[in-house]
Amino acid sequence: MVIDTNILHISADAELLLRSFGNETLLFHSASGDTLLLSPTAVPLVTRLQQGPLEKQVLFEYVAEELNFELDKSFISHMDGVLSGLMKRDIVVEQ
Amino acid sequence: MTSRISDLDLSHLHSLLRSSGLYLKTGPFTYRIRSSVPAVAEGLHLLYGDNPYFQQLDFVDFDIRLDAPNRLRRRFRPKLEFYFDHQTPFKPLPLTQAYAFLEWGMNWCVSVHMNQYLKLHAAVLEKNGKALVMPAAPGAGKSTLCAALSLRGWRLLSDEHALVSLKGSKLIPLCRPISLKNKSIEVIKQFDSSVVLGPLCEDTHKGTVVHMKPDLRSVAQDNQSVKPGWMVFPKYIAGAESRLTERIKETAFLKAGEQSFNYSLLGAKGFDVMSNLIEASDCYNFSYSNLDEAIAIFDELSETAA
Repeated sequence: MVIDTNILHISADAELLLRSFGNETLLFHSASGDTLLLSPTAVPLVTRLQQGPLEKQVLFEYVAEELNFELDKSFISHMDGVLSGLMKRDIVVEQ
Repeated sequence: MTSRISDLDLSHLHSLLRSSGLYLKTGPFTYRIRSSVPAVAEGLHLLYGDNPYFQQLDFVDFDIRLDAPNRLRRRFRPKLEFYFDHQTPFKPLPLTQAYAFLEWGMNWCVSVHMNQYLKLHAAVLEKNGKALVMPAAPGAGKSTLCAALSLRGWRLLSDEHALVSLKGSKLIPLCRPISLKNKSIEVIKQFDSSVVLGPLCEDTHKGTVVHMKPDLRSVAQDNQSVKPGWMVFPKYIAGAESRLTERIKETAFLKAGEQSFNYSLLGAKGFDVMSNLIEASDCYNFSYSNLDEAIAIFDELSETAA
């Protein structure tokens, strides 16, 4: 399945802190001061982008593999929603 | 030997309050309080009687005064202003609400200043060396439960502010009177007839308000910080059975953050300190209607303080 090839990265303005107590993961976004409860699919997306910019196609493939999901239409649609939420908050941006 | 505020004659205390002021040390903070209102003198004498008396302090955190703005206001529909460093942050309130106004003003001083702590709107008590933190929105039954626990041997750290140190995430005591409102007043009177209550203030924006004196041991240990042990979100539900249920820490974190005065202000440091507080606490929701049942459950919980 072909996904667009936009390059995504974590906003350079923000320091992100992640913390989990064994159940879910909290993210602190220093630019806004917001603390968010990340969905399980958002966690590998954010942690992978913290390592460096990545094409959206490669990023989604990585998350699917990490979580043992098939990279099908419904997964891509779900991940688009997750990504859109993170972009709306300026946590993830397009290059 | 250090003298206590109750060692002062009431008329002497009133005279101090009218002139140079009373220096009051409570937890890590010091106040200089001035007022010509007799109910303020009576309330302080009764409720802070076990606090040490200082003739003079070199430094005070909060310089406050509660008085009528002018002579006319003393005679005609008497109203009081709360002065903090000569500013008046609130609208004036009737003379009949003087003591409650003082306590609210003292709370406000801590809530909007003192960002060297992570501050939560929460009751804090201690048993077996661990702190029980109970964050709650107004009306959840936090103060009633806090009063009952303190009357049954739990050490009171605060009814209003959980002060969490930025280094070590320990709970810092700020042991002041517990605010009881409306039906809670009678509930606590019936729960323990030995309870000492200050001036009754009726028709306030919170209804009828009275303050309960903290016990001597809690006041005496007002400088001893405590490691976190439990975070419990209480909820009074009329007729409900007492029920303590585990809560996942991530949502406890967010809920506690909602009840913080300065979590966002502290930025990454606030996240770090709150993380450490939550990490060290077992987190629960608690619904109740019966105080005796509640005490039994909390006493059992305190046995888990390893």
